Amino acid sequence: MVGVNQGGLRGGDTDEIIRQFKAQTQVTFPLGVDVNKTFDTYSADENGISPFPLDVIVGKDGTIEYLAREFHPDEMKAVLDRLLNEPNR
Amino acid sequence: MWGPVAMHCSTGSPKNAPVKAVIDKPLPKNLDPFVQKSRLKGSTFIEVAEVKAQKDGLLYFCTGVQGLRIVDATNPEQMKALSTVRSILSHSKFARCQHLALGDKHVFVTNKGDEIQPTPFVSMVSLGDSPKEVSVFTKQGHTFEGIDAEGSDVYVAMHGKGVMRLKQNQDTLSEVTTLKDGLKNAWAVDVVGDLLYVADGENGLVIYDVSKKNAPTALGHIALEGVSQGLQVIDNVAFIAAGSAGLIAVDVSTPSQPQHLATHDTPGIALQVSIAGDIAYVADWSSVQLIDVKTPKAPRPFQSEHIKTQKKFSRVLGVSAQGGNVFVGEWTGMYAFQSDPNQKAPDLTVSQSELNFGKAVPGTPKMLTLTLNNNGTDTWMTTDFKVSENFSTTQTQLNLEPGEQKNIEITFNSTKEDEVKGSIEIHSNDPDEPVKRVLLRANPKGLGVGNKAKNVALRLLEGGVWESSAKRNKIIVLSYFATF
Repeated sequence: MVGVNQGGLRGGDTDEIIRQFKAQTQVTFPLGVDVNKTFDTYSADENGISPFPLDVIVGKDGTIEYLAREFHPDEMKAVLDRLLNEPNR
Repeated sequence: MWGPVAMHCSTGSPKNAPVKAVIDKPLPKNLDPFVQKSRLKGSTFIEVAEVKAQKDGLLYFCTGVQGLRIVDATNPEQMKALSTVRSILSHSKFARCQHLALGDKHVFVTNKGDEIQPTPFVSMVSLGDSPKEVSVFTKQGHTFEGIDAEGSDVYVAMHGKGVMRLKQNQDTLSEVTTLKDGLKNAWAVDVVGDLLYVADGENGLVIYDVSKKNAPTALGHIALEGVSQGLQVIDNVAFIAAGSAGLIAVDVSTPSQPQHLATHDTPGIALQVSIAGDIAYVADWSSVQLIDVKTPKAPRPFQSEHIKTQKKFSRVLGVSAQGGNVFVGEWTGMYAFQSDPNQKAPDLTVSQSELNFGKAVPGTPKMLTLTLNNNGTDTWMTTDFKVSENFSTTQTQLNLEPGEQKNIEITFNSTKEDEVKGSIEIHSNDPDEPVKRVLLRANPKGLGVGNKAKNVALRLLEGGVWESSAKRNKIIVLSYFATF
């Protein structure tokens, strides 16, 4: 699931622009617009300055297990492997 | 006005000719092999994208804010801005210049469409005493990415719509034909003689015979890891910047049967590659990576460089090398470096610039691992580890041979639930970073590891709403992007 920051950084992302983005990135999973501004919540700790992409992994019980402001696929895979292999909490 | 240096730009030079790394003045011993010489004055958060350095000392680069920039870089210690060209179709504050190609008398530029400049287009800029835009090309429903030119033929990648061949005639630019056969997501192109090489996203590399201008034919294809989005072909080897897969070398000596030689995984996302001498310089999202490709089937890391900016992060989207002079396009500015492949030095890289311990139970130690890697060509040795209060490490002395990596463990222990910020300083013989600092954080105030996630509501592009609260007992991965 990919969340696109609502309205872009400067406001005005239209569905057409997002479709263009989807065509360029060729993502095959669902794409949605962040309507309740959760990106702002995750980046609030950075005084509102946070680079994209921002990756979050939430465990089965709703706890944030991973949050990173740089793309670290190996770390994400390690966290996912751990979560998938641990018994339900 | 342009000076005499700018006049050389119309003479052109053989494209893709191998450039021997010539070091005018070798760097002194015990220095880093990759040394910053200057930063272009006045380049502040201009969103530098593709960079192309020429043998005559001229430097061309795209910026998302200002448009096409042309700089006299004959003296890398003192780059001199010559000209800025903004298209008539550009937004007044955000030009969105992304990629460029140099022809004999023109520069061809692709400009992306986004939230503030909805129309993607190709711009043609005449060179000479006073560079200016002479033609623009746009087509409904088309986006334009990587671009290359050979004589009057201009090829431009258009993602899912293939590659368009445009014809430059005097001061006009017109559509001739579109190549689609075998293409899925064209990101970048490199034309060498009668062959056109296409970095085709997840589809890998596609090679076309373009000798018959109006009837180009697909010759060969090879599927590759990652997302192919930048390339340079030299001496029958295609070096491909393949996104998260890193740098890939492909033998294209038989274009109908390209052969995979090697994949070198870089720490970031490989976006653009420039070859000079035996070194591949890779714009790798958060750093520039130097990779020795003297033997293309056995690439090995040589050095890496994180550009130090006033912000907590940097973005390297473009790089171009001529001999020992290397120009790095960081989002906030243009940097000149000198590279000396003969210099041996250690180079420390760490797995994370910040370790976030998340929420910790008072009185219960919490441990995280940091991976240290010697990305250089000489033995790396620590002299000290200094850790802030409430954090500790049992690590004292550590040596790493070139290419070797080891983990160190860092523990957080506090009797309070208060937020704690600190750092670990790694003192070593790394010549350009004798002290590397990794931020440490625990019990963050905002939403962080260990906190309960808030409900995330997304308005789906294809209709409907997706809410995380409806996914209890599921593991959720969220990745936030912006379209610019």
